[in-house]
Amino acid sequence: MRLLLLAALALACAGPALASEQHPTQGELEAELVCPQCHEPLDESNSPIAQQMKAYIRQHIAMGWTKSRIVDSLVGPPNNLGPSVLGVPRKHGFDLLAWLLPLAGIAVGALALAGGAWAWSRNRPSNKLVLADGPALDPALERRVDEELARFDS
Amino acid sequence: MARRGAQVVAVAVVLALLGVLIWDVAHQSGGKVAAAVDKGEIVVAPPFTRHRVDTTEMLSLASLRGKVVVLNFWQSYCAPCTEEARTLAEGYRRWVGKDVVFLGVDEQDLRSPALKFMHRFGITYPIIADNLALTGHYGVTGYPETFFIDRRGRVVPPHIVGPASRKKLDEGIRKALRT
Repeated sequence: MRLLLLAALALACAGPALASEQHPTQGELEAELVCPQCHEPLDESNSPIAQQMKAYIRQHIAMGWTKSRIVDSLVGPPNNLGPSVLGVPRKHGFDLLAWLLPLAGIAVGALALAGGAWAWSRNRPSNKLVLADGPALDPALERRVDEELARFDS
Repeated sequence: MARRGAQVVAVAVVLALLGVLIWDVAHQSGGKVAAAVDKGEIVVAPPFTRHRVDTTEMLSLASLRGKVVVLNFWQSYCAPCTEEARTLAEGYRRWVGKDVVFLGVDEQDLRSPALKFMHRFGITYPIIADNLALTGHYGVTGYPETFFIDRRGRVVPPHIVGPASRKKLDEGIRKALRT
């Protein structure tokens, strides 16, 4: 039952993603790409190159190009604008490191934190041990404490 | 023991990052070409291989060794570039076959507007596409700018900042041919 629910959820998510890949909109591509001149998102930039890119996207959406084909043609041949036009790093090749390194950092941090907590909890002396290992009370002081307590009880 | 190992790993990571930083700084020519040429110095031209805008081929600077190269940085949406475009196109036709090649570097441009620009101004020499890497290596601060590379692959003075006139262009080519 759980598997069925998970599969249904995955299908529900895959549908819009597939539609976006096959039939991208001008807005989503402009939001995902960056002006290489001013480094603003394309939909917020009016630089000459941003205007060229917007016109290119419009033209190629009309031609029925997929999202990744449009993006690839801007980054690589024939336009060769480079990966600086991508709003987010790609999930393959060297750019994959940009996704993996923060996750690895979080994992290492969590491990270090867990290790530190474990070591701290193991080395921490308990109250019982302090009492057991602590110096014995001076007999005079002990007698005085007993007297005070007896007086307090009475 | 484990603590010691972690310290060694941490030191190794820091040293590796430092090494990468030093390597990066050492391999940046960071605009030294334009500054050196403007001081009258002759410097080795930073090598490059780029996609051509006008064809689907690649072009490397090394393949032009033995000829004087007029290296012009431009963009299709740069107004001063339109001012010099015809001068360059006409200069190319005058110097073609005389051991001189013209090479345009189209910076941060889409192919279609670049081709329209070339067609509009009758530019028939090779144009390569770049996304600011060469701008950085050569120390270009605006568009257009023109460098002259001699037959031995060295950038020689003068360096033209702004639209090139016929006089400045011919002067630069003649100097490069003489070195």
